[in-house]
Amino acid sequence: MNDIFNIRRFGRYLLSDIKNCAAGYGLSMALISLTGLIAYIITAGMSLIITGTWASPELEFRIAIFLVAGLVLFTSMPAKCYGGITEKRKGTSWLMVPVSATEKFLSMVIMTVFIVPLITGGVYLAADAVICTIDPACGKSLIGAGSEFIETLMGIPEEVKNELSSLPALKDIITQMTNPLLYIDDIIMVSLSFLLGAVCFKKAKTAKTFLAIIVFSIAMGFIATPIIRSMFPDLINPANINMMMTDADLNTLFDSWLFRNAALIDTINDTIINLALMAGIFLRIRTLKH
Amino acid sequence: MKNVITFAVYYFTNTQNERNMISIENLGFTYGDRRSQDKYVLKNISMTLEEGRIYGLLGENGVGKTTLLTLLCGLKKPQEGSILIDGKTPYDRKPSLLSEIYYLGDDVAAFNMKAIDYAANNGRFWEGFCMDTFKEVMEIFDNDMERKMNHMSFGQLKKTHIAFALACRSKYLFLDEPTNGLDIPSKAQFRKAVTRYTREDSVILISTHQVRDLENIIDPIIILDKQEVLLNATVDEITEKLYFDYTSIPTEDALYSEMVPGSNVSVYINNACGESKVSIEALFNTVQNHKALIKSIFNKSTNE
Repeated sequence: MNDIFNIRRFGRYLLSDIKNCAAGYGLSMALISLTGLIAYIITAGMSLIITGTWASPELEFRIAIFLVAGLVLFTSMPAKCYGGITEKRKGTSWLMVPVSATEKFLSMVIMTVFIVPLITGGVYLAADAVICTIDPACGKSLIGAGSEFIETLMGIPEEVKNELSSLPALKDIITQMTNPLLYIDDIIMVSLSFLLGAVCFKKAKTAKTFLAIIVFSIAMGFIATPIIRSMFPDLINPANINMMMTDADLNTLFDSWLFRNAALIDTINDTIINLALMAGIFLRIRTLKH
Repeated sequence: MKNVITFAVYYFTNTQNERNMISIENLGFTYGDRRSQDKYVLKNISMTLEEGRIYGLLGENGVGKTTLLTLLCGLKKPQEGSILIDGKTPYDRKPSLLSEIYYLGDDVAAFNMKAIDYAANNGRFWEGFCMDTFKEVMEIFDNDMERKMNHMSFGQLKKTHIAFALACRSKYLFLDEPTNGLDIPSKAQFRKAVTRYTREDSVILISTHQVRDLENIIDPIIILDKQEVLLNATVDEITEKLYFDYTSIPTEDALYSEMVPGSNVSVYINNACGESKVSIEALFNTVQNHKALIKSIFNKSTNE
């Protein structure tokens, strides 16, 4: 018997993990995936009652609801499906299942990062697409919005967009950074962070994970700020903080190696953090005691 | 050539023996500071558990019975010494060993699924799992398989987990207070199920305070004390060394005596080689009252 990885055993375990997760979190998943539809019905219904007209929710509103639903999913799912392993009774049962730590880890990550978000997100986006097809007043569907989704999310003002012709370097960066694919690793990072929190903290898993993320972000800020400042000593200088940067200065800043490769650096940074999070989850599973 | 054959025979027989049992060597475990010797729950514990036996693990509260069980099944890591099961370390939690182990804790989990679905969903990972056995034991216990586990009473939940434990047909079965929470008929049904549905080569270790529930099935008996094993002997060894008298009024040389309904039970050193039936409760109290004497009697017997 292979004690590290056996594909048949892993397949069976993943299937059993799906069933266990569905039993404990299936209803919440269904509710989250239908949040868009529920919000649409409530908005339009309220409008009909109050103003007597059918008002469809706009893209910005639907994006906001989608983000809230996503946040609820990523923060609640790991604690609900896997939080029990830190509890003596459920954790004992879970640890004693004759499956290797590697297989348990992989199943957990696949479930949290891919299966549950893809199913929930897929149903959500499909429902949104159906609503937008039936009711064209909604405008673009969330899938159809593409980079507009990210632009809305990033809150880039219209006046900035209009002036981009004088800042070609910034225009390039915005084009890079508004590619939705760039944010896949960030979504993975969020889900892995909450999974690590779920298997590490015994109580108040979600709140403690939020707190840990805030502390980590502040620490990263403290590390990154002097590095970036040392790269642009003239442009980013506390003494010049009140001086307005000219378009030429901004172009110099955004045309630097750091900003031109912002997407690549972001991907490398996220990959390192994701690998570290996965290592933490695996180590926790491997050394968990009851 | 002769030496090689001798070595091969020695190696084969010894490693085979090691592989077919549980070997505990100088085991030490503490929940506190390892530098403080007083805080050790288990200290220098050594014993071997052989196949085909149902061991009863007895001891006062806090002597480390549950700790020992959780160390044996790999839920904790020994801080000192070692545990080997079939030559493997349980804390490594390798699937090949885990599929031979089942640990039933004192407190059991209530999952949000039907008992039958839980068994089907999880049983597949134990090689010897038998759904028919699960169903039969559930029927013996008169427990509803179609009921969701989180809607069950503690006793029903315990019976579901006992049925699952027996259906896994694992070689090593560690049960922590299995009769706690069971109603009176279920205790007899439990004894019946344990003797009927476990493998002949199983090593079963049952930790319990309810000795009367399991009096007729446990043999050998292990009595743990703070940081040591006071007794680890079979019922035959115990009756060879101690005599349990249920008839007469206790004499002065009785190690222990107590009133039981309708008579007394007195424990004596068995100098006359008389045959008697062990009263585990009386044995436990005798051992607690005469720790040094009992250790010397049984250690002498082991050494001889």
